[in-house]
Amino acid sequence: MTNTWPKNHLTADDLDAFHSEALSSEMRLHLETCEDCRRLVVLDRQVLEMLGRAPSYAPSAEFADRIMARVQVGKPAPVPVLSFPRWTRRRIAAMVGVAAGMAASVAWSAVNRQLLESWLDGSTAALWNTGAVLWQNGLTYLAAQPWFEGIRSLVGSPVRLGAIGALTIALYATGLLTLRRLVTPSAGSVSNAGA
Amino acid sequence: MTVRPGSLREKTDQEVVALAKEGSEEAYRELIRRYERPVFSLVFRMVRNRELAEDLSQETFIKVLNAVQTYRPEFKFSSWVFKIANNAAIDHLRKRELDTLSLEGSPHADTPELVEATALQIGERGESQLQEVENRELGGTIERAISRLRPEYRSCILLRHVEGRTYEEIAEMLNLPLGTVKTYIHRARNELRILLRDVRDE
Repeated sequence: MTNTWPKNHLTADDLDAFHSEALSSEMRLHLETCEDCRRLVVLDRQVLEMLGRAPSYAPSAEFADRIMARVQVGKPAPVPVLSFPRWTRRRIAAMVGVAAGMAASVAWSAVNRQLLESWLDGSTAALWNTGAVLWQNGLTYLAAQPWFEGIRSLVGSPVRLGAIGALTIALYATGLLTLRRLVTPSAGSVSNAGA
Repeated sequence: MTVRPGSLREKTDQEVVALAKEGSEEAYRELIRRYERPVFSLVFRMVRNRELAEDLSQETFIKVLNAVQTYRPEFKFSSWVFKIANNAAIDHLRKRELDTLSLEGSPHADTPELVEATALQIGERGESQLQEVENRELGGTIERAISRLRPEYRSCILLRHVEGRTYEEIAEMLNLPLGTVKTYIHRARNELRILLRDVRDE
């Protein structure tokens, strides 16, 4: 008997089908004529029978008590706070790679400064002009809006400006706390199978 | 909350977990009672060291029971327990390689009765002494054969043919593609056939 699965002999799926009495008639016919496959089937059945009869082991008598001493009955699992990811080799390698890339980029820029400047010279002025025009147009557009004067008078007083600033910070903090609650896992590394 | 332990035995896992969520200590103990042997057996066969297997099994139950409030009943409780137990064993094996194989009783057993009670449970009660000896030899042979398998093959074949889990459940538990699980199991069976054939030929 060989350890491989010749094309015309019983496959692994055929073996399963044989044990569950669902072997196709074609393979049943093959089994009647193939001595190798018959031996394979017999030995496989013996393996499964032995596995099925494999004994079960019992832990020590105090096993359950020791567990119960460390279990919080009826209490919900503590919600873990978000923590900084562990320093695994892969993460360290990724960080070193990024840092090396950045260092290489800075070094190249320092060495080839003239070349870099020649690239940037032409494009910088054009970009700057375009940006200034866009900015001016944007401001003009905003100032022309009917609600602009209302907002301007609202933030005109330092007291009102302070109050609006405080309200904005409070809203931002509330949003952050809500987001943290939403993204924090409920049970750490313990999750249902398939969940 | 108090529940009669006897009444719990007829309940499904889902019902017992629901009682545990309500704070029934008896329900917690019932869950341990149901799974301590299968979980311990699986972990013991994986790490092949009784004391270590007991520690890992204990950690498995503590993890499961402390997180029982988060259990989602649409999944099988047993799959959840086995998944955590297997992860614990595999994590340990990745850190350390163990070659010892003990078929004796618990290291905590300090009397002959306790040693007997915690040793391998082979065959049905009432078997003749000869059958018991034969079964013990058979148990030793299969244990040695299993212990020679690669850890990934070992957990797959134990879950499939000792614990009776389906291929799909195993794939879910071990986070492996179904095809990989099937391949592992058939390769493991292939290796076991060769090992057992060699034993018989000796």
